Amino acid sequence: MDVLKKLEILTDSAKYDVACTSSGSDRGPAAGKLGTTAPAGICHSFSADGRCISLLKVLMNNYCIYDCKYCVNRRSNDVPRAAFTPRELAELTIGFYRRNYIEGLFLSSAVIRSPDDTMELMIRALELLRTEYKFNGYIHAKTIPGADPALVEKLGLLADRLSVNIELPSERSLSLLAPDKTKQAILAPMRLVQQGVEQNRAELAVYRSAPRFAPAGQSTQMIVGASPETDRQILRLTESLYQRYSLKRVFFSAYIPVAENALLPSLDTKPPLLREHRLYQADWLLRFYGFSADEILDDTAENFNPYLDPKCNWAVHHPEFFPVDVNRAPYEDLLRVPGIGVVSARRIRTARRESALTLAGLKRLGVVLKRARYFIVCADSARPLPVSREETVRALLDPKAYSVTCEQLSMFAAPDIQTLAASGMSARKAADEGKENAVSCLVKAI
Amino acid sequence: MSGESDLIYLYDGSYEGMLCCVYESVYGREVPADIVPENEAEPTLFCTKYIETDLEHAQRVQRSLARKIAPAAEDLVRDTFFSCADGKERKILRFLLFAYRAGDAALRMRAHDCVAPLYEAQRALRNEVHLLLGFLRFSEYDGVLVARIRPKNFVLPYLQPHFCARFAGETFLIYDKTHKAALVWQDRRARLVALDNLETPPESEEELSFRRMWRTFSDTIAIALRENPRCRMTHCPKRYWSEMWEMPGGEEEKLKMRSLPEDFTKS
Repeated sequence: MDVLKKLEILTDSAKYDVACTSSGSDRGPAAGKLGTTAPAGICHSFSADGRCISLLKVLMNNYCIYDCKYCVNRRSNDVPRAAFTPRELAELTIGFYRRNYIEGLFLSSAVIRSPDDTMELMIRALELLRTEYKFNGYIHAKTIPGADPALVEKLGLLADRLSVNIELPSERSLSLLAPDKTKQAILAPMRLVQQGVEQNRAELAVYRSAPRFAPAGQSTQMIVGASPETDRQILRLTESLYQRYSLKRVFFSAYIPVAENALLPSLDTKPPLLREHRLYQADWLLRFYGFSADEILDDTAENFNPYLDPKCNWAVHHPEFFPVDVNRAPYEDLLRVPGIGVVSARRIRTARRESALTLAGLKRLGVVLKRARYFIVCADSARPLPVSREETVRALLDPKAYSVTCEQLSMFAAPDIQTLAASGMSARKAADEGKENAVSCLVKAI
Repeated sequence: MSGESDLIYLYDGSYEGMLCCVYESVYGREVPADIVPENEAEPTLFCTKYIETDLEHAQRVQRSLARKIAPAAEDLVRDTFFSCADGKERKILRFLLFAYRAGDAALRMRAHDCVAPLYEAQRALRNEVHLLLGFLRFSEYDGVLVARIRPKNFVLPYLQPHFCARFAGETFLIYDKTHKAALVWQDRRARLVALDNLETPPESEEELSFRRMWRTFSDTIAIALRENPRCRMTHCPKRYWSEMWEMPGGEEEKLKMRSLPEDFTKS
């Protein structure tokens, strides 16, 4: 089999892995070596589904001994199988890297024979790439649950980032859908990597040129929509992963039906893309906006509001917090205003030292007034716009919730936009209809 | 200082030349209606005045940026000059006349009419630089890597540190078609040269096979059920696509044969 064919098979098998980030590692050039890493990461392309391509994301091989129900590579599935040799993989990576197609390699693997054997194969490939081919770029490697701790350590010294997939948001779902994996087997390597990173930090403090262990930390991902967990459960799990395992990122992957199975959603289910989007928005609120999971989804709501993004949703439910005076409020409070993000909050903090900010000034700083003006006071507006609750909600509605291509959201029994569209109504009209309904539902709910 | 006059400054188009216009304006106590590179000047009813580039004057203005405003003003002014902002020279002069009085506070007044345009220009330039760090594509011709770009802003000086560090052991050339200039990295030395045209020899079979593999990878990695062309275009505007082999459109154009002058590798 030629390399092109192998590349096609092993890319196809890897495409459901979400992470493609190349951030978190700041390594300058080294004599005689090829490559550097950029701390913020660099996107090299975008595929037809709009996802970033930063790394050459492939499997080492896709001969799997496991039979996880939701996975394309499960052993009971009839798909073409292939395996890269370490040299083929190294040549491919270097060839792509020199042409500036990629930031580096994202290597994962199906479990061939045993977790230890699989990890050894991956380590051999990465060693070849790092030593013989003198590759100094970014490497993201997946650790295989159940592998020997010594192998995890070895892998961490070769890679910038490690990851273990948590796969599903609860132990029950895991035992149902991935009977060969256990929560313990997944969390153990995660703990190992965390300890490795911490220990390495201590070593580096003593000895500057100590070998670096996974300098870009670790990440994980879970499938959303294959099992019955609520958004609140998922978000709390996410928060605890950040707090207890010091993860850099938690990724969510909208479940795409790949198998007919009584335990899984049927094959014609659309991937829950809006739900995934809401989870990422909430994830950002956790990491950069000082929100806690219990603030975003409290006892009154188990799931995200489909029509409002989590930050707007919080704002309309907490009128006592507003208005915020942009010329005086602390940075943390600015971040809570819809329409003000991390960048514009920082700019406000700098600019207001020199002169009081006006609405026009805020616009120049990048504040989205369309949303923010209902929640702020500034130099030339002493009161937020005195408008009805209905108008506020209308301005905050997320247009994403109305595209006909989106999955149907059933939270407020709004008329089914898809059905309206299918029954001959124009897409725009159907969306308008849905919008009006959503506004009245939301106003009632608040 | 008197108000705006009906005078237009012409200069040679260089960064130093622009600084000399600032010198002339400050010491001549006049504010020109516009500052235009000589070769872009159109006949007008305004009086024109050609400002000679004097390196000593340029240096004085350059030093004043850090001393009288703040060190960060150097970057802000240079980035604006290399951006494609409309009337950038005029914006820079307006900013400087304001900032010489306001001092380092000027840099914090991001919402001020004299200051905001510079930050906007800087952001546009830096965004394009960042995108090109990823979207630029090299092709190999006998061991030499060659890339073509068509940026709106003059990004070559900003691409230099990244690519020279990353590909320190390679020989490469990045050709900017918009500004007819090239960045050459050879024997661990970087040069920025003016270049009217760049022709390259036909691609080798190896080069074409890497392009095919890359295209295959990019096509395969996409999940059909999530297809979202608009999202793709938002993140990767179409004007970058012509040299991105994995993007749809212009297949033959992309693999087109090119001829390269003999002396390219020696130059």
